[in-house]
Amino acid sequence: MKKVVDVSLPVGPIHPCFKEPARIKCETAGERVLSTEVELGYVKKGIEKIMVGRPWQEVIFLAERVCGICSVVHNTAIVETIEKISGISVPRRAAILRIILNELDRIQSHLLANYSYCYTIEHETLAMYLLNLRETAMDAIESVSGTRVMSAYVVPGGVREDISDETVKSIVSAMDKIEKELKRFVKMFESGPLIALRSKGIGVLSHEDAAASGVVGPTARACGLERDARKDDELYKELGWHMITRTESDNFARIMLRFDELFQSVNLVRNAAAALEPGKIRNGAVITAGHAVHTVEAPRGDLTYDLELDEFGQVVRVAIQTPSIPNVEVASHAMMKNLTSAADVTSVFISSDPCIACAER
Amino acid sequence: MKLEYERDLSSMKLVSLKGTAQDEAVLILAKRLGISRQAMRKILIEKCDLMTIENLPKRIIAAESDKSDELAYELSLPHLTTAAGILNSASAEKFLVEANEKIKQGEQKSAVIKETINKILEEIK
Repeated sequence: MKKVVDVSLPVGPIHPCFKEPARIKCETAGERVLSTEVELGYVKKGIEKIMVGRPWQEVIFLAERVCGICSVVHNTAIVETIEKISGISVPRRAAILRIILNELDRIQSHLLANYSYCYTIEHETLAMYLLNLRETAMDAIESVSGTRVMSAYVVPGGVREDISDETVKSIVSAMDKIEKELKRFVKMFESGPLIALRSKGIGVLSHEDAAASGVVGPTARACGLERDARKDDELYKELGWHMITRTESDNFARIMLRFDELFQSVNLVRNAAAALEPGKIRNGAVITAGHAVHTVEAPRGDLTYDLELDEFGQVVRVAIQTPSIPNVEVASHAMMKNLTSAADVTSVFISSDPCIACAER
Repeated sequence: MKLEYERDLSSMKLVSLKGTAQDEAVLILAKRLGISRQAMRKILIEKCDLMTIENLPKRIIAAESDKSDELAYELSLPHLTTAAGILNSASAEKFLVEANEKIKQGEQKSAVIKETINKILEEIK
């Protein structure tokens, strides 16, 4: 006879679907998941505390170490915060180069997120296709900055190095390749009946829960919230950026939204490459004392640096609000609540693109 | 929930609460309830899970903007229910109704708020 039993089901901290350690504690009644808790603390770095008392020259490198996947955006965010404090302007060419690198970073991050999701729902073929395509974006990042991660490319007043016309051409052809391949992979994802079974109507996030938790990035936009830090950036608008949202709020919407944003990022890189004009890549910069709060759109959502510097350019206080914090929180308390199958716990969690390194900054 | 192999997360929660933004959120809550930072930390460590504590700053910002009911806002009910989750909605509703009735009966609003917050504190401690 079939028996329904209540079980406390631990998932992780080491799990094949997780890139980083985290434990999900699920309270289940039979197959139904009643509630979940995400337990972190395995890789806490304490970077905020390490930064205090150190000069800005050291801190911009430390910021990149918050996250290996989106190190470019941490570098951009802290440098732009320092520029805001000191009133430093950036030449147009450098601003466009920053956009190119950040959008390439978004492309590789979104491809990695969707790879992880496909891997989690056991569609390993599509997962490997996406991971292979990510290498094209990583190569493009390397051609701009010299390294795949932690490039320290963005510096106060501009960027570290210029790129040649040949590099620009190779980046544009990389974008053509990504767009062409991606269309095929999106069709595979959209039309896959087994993918739909594991994704449509699973892990639905209500509007109320989304608003109360301060969820950001693709997770917020997939349930109709128009939250994107790029909407106030004139240069992004000039290059053709527009808000992308969906309304289904489920796993499928979150993955499809990232695919839609990938196409947009490809176009942004192309438009940025076309808008590159000869010019200087760095203005002079003198760092002054002050306090500023600055938000940039990381691949996973709003990344905020709240930074105070003294007259010697040393950090007095810093708060790093990474997008994964609200996204992981809402995944554990709202998206995974009342799931009909415990098998969906990992896929719902991964669909919110959790970055444990960012959450444990 | 209690698991046989559960780790004691109190020290980890304290580390999170000492984060710059989290500390500011704790101070907002402590000021609203008229208690010390340490007392507020103790309540949060006992009642909240790790992710709620990590996301407390964003949740407090959302609660600060929820001024749909002025009395509920002054009693910090959005902060304690939706944001921190340390007071259940039924109890929050009960406190709100009681406070509203007292004000209607002519009691001074500030005194009612102070008295209700003390009752809330008794419940969440």
